[in-house]
Amino acid sequence: MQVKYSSEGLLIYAMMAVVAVGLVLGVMRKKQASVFAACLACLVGLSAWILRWITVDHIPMQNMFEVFLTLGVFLLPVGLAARRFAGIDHPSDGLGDFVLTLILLFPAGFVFSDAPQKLPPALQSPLFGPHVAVYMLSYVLMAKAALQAGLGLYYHSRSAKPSSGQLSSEDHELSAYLLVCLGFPLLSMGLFLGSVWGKLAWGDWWGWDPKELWSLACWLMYLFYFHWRYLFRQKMPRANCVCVILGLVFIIITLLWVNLSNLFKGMHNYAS
Amino acid sequence: MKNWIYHLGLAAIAVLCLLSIFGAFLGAENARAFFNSVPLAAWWIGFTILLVMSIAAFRALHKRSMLFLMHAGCVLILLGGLWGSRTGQKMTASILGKPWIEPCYLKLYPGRQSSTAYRATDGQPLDLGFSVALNDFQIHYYDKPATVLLIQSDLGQWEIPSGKGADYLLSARAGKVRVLETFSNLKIHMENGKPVASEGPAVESNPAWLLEFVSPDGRATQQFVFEKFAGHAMPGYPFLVTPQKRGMIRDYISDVQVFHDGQPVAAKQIEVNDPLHYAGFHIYQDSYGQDEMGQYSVLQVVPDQGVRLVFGGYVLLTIGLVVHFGYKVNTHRRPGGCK
Repeated sequence: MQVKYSSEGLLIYAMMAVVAVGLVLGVMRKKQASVFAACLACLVGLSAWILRWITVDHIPMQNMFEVFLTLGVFLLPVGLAARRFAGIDHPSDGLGDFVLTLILLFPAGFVFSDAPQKLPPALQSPLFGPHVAVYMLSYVLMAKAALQAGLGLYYHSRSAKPSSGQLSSEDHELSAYLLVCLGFPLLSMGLFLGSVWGKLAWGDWWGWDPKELWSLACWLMYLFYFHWRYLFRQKMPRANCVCVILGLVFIIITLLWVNLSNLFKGMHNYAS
Repeated sequence: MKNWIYHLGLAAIAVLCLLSIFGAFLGAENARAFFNSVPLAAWWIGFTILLVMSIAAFRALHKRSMLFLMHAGCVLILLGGLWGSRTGQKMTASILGKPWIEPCYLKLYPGRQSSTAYRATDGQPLDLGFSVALNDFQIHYYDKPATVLLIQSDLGQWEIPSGKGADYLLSARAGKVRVLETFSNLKIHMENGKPVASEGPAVESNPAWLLEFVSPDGRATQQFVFEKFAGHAMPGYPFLVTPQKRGMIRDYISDVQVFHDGQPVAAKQIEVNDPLHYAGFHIYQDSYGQDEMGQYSVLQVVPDQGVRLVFGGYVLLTIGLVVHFGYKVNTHRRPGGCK
């Protein structure tokens, strides 16, 4: 655990503080103040992200510190956009976004080193930004979907009828489905852009690298979910929710275990 | 029948997901061998046939163009993968009566050309049918690189800074070493019948160092080290000294020209992420190295069979996914609406 005293580090802590305040305000049902805190946190986080870009002189998505910074900074705006444009709109969503943002910013703030790194030749590609960015966006959406699926499972297991204004387990399951519908095309684009980039940089569009195979497993997990849900609709909501949560587990393995463990040595280890 | 195909498809997706996880634990090379093995080749063919059968069997895929695009895209990717696989390439070569050229490597020194590459799998030589000439090779660094001297002998290996001055103790058995002189452009001239080293004009470059090794018994030996003849060991010298650059590499670039039947047919500055394409092959900047003949560039030659099908599949799949799911989210605007 390391505390960062760089400008980016201090801005990350400031964002975490604002997010924590927003969470408390949300719990206290002060919706307007909570939304204001979310907007302020977005601004502070965006400042940290832009500052990092200026410091390292490339889009900050190269190492684990930058990846978690990006995920943490963009979760709130993506959450707001998903509610605004996709109509996935209820109070627990906002609170969930605050909790997820804190979880994602913690590794950037306290775990991974923020030492600036220069890009090796393989990463100096116009595809670097789009490939990682679409993956980050999809991961954020899938994390939100898994939260909804978790809530769906929770309410389903309690089998109590929700009070007025509260969402049922079916509503949470549907929210999870809509979020996966938003995230899956991005996840696919990330996979395809990576494949095209692999062909340009390494000579092969598919290298059977551990990270590639785990990414494929993630993609197949969501593909399985769509086909399963098409077959059973909402007759098996718990199974639907488990698929979405399993998808996030695979994403976490792809992002963390594959990069940080010596068990999966491969061409993507520069990201660790 | 439709139900049967759907359940089989669902099971096939689950099995492929599990196989991917299994493959991830094998490492890239073993996973490549595993997924290209005969049983898995049968599996890929079966999976492709199942997809084609599902497109034929399900009316929904005919009525909804985006669903059709997505499934057709998957078929194209699988067909491209099968055609571009080692077995696919072998079969195509034997049908067309052409020699099969596997992924291979070219080791080229600046100013040289070669049509012989070495197979990636076992290092066996292959004739490409065309030759590649390396006009120039450059390494670009982020900051000015520091030069270090790598000293090797039977007693061990050491690395010392290349600046003139201090003594460095190698080990109790190997003794000490000191850089006596550094030259940007070493010239040798004769004085009283003896060769004398001096600094030549700055317009030319011949970086060199004069080292003095002192053995544990106090015997001193002087040795010249040349950057352009790195690793060159003079007879009787106990140490092999190689100057090496240390710094973060920004890029390495090979200026190459391709000749077919003696005629130049393609030319390009190849760098990482920017290969040259010629006659169904991509030629990549792979790596570089240095030996007693000087610095060399390693180029990778890879056939591009099946790639267009795969990338075409990506385009279809992406269009289908974006439009289909965009429409889906739009029609589901509110939870509790359409299920």
